[in-house]
Amino acid sequence: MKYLAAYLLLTIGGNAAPAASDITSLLATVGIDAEAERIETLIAQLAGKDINEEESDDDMGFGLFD
Amino acid sequence: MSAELATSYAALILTDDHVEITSDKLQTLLKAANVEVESIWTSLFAKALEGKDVAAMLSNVGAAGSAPAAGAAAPAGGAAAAEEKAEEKKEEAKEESDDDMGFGTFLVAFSSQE
Repeated sequence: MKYLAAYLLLTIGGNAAPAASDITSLLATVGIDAEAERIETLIAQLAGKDINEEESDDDMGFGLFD
Repeated sequence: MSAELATSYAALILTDDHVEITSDKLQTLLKAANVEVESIWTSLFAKALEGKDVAAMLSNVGAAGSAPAAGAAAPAGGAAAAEEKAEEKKEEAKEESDDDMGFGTFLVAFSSQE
């Protein structure tokens, strides 16, 4: 959970595509160790997805927003 | 950009590793992420979450995710029922996470406050 939260926090800070090193550094500021493998997996899964788009309303094909 | 959202993420990071949620630590994370949040927010969050088991609250989403609601729900069901529920939740939680979040202790502590 912390990796995703770190990723999202970095995007809020203006980093549109946080790298594994960004996440690791962020967590290190409060003494939290990071598992590189899990971060890589997370980033791979999030790659190409616009986080904001994911959270925004989707009309699910009903043409609600037309 | 929402200050609350950013602070929430920072709080999530800390609680996931059982690090104490303090205003300083929240500010450290926010600054490191290049997010500027007025210290009033981090103070509020730190105070509101002080002593609370955030991980337990998250797993108890049905109780509106707030400690008072969770506390009210437990005594309402009776101490015995609450203990059973706590055991059940504890087992569920154990399956999902590696450590014991002390959920049973959390609920028992609330019901003993009645």
